Amino acid sequence: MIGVISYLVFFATVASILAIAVLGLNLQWGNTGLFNGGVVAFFGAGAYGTLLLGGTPQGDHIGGFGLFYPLALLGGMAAAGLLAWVVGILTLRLRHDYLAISTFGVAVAFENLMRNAEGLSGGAKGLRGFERPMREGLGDGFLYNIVFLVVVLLLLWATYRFLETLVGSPFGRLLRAIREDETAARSLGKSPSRCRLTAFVTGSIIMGLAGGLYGTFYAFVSPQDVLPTLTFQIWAMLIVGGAGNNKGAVFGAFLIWAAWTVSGWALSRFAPIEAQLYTGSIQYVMIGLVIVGMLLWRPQGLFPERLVVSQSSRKKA
Amino acid sequence: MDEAALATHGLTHYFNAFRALDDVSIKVRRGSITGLIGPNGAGKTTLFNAITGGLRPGRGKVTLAGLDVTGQTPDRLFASGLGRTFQIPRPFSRMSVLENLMLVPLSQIGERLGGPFLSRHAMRVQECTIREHALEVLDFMTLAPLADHPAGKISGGQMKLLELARVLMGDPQVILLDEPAAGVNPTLTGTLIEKIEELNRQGKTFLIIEHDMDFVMRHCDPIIALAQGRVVFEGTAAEAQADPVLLDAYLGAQADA
Amino acid sequence: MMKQKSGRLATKLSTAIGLAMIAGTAAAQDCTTRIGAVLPTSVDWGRPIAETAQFVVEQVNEAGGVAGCQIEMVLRDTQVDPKVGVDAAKALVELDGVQLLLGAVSSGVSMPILTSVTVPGNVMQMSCCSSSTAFTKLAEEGKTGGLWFRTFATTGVQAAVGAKVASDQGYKSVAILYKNDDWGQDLNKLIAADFAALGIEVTAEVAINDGQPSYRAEVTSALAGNPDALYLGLYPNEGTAAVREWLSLGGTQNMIMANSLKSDEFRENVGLQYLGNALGTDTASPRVASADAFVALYKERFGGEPNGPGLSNSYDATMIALLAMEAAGKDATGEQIAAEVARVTDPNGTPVTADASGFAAARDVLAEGGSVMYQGATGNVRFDANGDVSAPAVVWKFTESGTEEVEYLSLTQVDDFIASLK
Ligand SMILES: Nc1ncnc2c1ncn2[C@@H]1O[C@H](COP(=O)(O)OP(=O)(O)O)[C@@H](O)[C@H]1O
Ligand SMILES: [Mg+2]
Repeated sequence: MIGVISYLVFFATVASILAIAVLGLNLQWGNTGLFNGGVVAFFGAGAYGTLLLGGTPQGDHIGGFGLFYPLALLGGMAAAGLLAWVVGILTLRLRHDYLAISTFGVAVAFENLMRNAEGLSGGAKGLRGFERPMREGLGDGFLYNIVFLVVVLLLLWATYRFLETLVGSPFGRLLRAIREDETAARSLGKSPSRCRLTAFVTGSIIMGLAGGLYGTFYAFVSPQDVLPTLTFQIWAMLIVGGAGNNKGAVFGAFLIWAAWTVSGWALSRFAPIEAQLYTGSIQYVMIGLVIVGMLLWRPQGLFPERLVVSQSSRKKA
Repeated sequence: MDEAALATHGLTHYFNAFRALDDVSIKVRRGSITGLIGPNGAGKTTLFNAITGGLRPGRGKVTLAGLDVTGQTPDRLFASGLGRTFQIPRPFSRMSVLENLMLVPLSQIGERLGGPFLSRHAMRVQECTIREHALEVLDFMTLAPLADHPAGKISGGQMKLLELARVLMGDPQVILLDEPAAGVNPTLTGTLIEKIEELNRQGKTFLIIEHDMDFVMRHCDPIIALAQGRVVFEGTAAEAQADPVLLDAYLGAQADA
Repeated sequence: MMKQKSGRLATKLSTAIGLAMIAGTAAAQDCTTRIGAVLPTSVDWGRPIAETAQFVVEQVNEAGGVAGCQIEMVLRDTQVDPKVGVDAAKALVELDGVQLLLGAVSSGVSMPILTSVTVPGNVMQMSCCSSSTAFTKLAEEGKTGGLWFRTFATTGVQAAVGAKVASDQGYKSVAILYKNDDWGQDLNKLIAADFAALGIEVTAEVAINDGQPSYRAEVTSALAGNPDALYLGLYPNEGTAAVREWLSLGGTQNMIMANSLKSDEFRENVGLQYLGNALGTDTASPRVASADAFVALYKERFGGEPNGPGLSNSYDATMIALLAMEAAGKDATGEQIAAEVARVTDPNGTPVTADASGFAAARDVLAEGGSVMYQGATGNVRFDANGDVSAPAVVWKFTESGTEEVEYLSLTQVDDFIASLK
């Protein structure tokens, strides 16, 4: 029984971390219509940034500044934000498809940089030497995982509240207007480029937070953590959950991650051993089918975007 | 000169080798409802775009209340009191009609990232004011019952009204309407005309592109006609009806269409 | 739509129940002990590694199982995605209660499993194939808790033997193509240093990324120094592509290959006629009866030579882990199993072969409190304090039917040579 709980805690931690990243993407795509094809770069910047700043010195590469953990995490977020700012300045003028391609390129470049810049990132071996915060007091067993989950859930909740407030405010209204029709928004006195950059950077900082927590949880990050698969997974979560709806984003993250893990578990448990060799492929096919089915039958996702979200439009109590 | 709310001076614009605007100089008298007519492809919409900053004219000048505003961006021009609607309506489809309006007022406290968090109270107060104002405008434009509908799901005529309502939220002095009555049923057209005239009485200046000659002749004065990117006529409705060149250029092309 | 959905669910459920019943009858035994395996089964070369592990489990079960219980290996796919691998490992540890975890292959997956699942959970982890030097460092820092082992000899052996081949062949200059991952980067660094120590000039060190349509640019820059020979630290896929470009651009046929290229696929796709001067290195295909026994067993079971990367390592990893489990007795914890690894790989112990009868023989010795020397597919495996193995080495070349040994270097020869480089 304790095993089940222990696993669920673990599962919920990873799902919550992914949910934070999906929320970041939702701000960019769901609310602003920015197609970020390189989610993993900003996630990775957060992870690498946090571990570099918060880790212990490693001899063979820079970093290991051993910063106080919250500062390291903020540093990771700042790294993601900075990357997004540079990318945004260069690409936000581009049309959607070009934006998608160039952000995808940024992610590939990021992965390559981390793989090759051994002095910075530890290269393909990955980045070690990070001590999970408060490990001395909590050990690294079940208790630690519970506490860490609580912290992650609090951050997920804070991110959710932050975004709900934001999209419910005139700022969110502006983002949606820009998403719907940029020309019309301009003709009504709005200047889209600044807002888009703000949304892009903010969303990326949130992805950086997710990445930082992810790196913290595993106390390790390597180029294998920043492959395009993650971008695909985050997108799948948003599409299934419902772009434009923060509840949907969180729900989608839990649902897809559950589908990913439960299908693997169920196949390993119930499929005959000969078939188990193919479970990975079966899993890919199943998840692919879910996403395609979703796009065909319910393209707006499980939780469609609400029409009226700004607080002031609600009837006053 | 001073009485021109809006004027262009020798505007010329090429799309590649095609001359869409050819030395266009027009004046829109303050307080007038000026009609802009001309066959399809004459360059009317292009002229609107050149005036409102949607495209940068190759040559020539635009002045707003005597000030040179050539090449300014649409958002700045709107802030300077120049509003426009589009020939094909551009509602923010997945937003409610009310939100379409509430978006408009300039420099809202909550429009900045920090606003909703740092100036929460001030933002709420402002939102209430904006909301009230938006509801008033909707009421004025007879759209109040649709306030909570998705803007993409209302009729084409209602969208035209919505576009005008949206522009009104910015309280511009000069309003350019691109074919406001096209494809709109007679009842709504009636409403629209009524509102335009009322706003005009309140002091707003209009420049209206319209194909409906009845509409133009009855409500616009003066009338400017464009053909092949050139101004071919400028005068009153009575003069327009008597002008053989205009009748030929305009009605001839009308017959083709 | 609703109907379709529930229909699909129903099919899924009934399949699942059906499969459960099949699994149920197959495992009808007095008691069953689960072990976990997290391997990249969705990758073509990962599947045989898993099949080999499963093959060991079958043999051990045939010999009566471990501590009186049949072994059930629960296999999870990592998809080479660290998140997925770590989650699978966590599920195996917490839901299936395994005390022994086999895997993973990629160091980038094995590492987070080690730091966030097996070490915190006191579960023994035995990898067939993770090669990163980071594990050695982690172990030196005392952070693996003695729970970590791998049967893949550290890259140092492979590099040293590769350098020895170059020197024996009289090559004066070598260009290096290496796979741009942790293993390749390590290998490149080590072998470049070894070449330097032997006075062989390294004309180029070129990283090769996976899945490129062409490697012309990389190969051209490797050709630039006009080297006597080419060193290949690559896998079959990109290895084939790069070598073809190399040959088509007139590069030398003098090649030295890491063990990763010991594959039929590579031989067939490049063409044996071009591989006459290509020598491969491998750790440990030693001259003991058990290695031949492994090959024979493998052929009998799978109908082909064990030519894929990591197969013999996977075999030994699984067998040693199960021997240690046997030594630790019923219901042993991961820590207890890990502590017994030394007793089943004791150089002074009773030699046992790597098959069902060997396992049965070992059981008797262990039951009396004795120790055994496991003679496996990769030789007389011996772990150092960091869970690393050193190993004898071979030089091999391709033949019509597979590969053939050219030279054998015993453990002492390898160790002496490595010492001479320092
Ligand atoms: N963006 C553009 N690129 C090229 N040609 C254009 C563009 N916009 C309009 N045109 C051309 O310019 C001419 C004037 O168009 P427009 O101003 O829309 O006419 P109208 O008077 O009907 O509003 C037409 O021939 C049209 O095809
Ligand atoms: Mg037009």
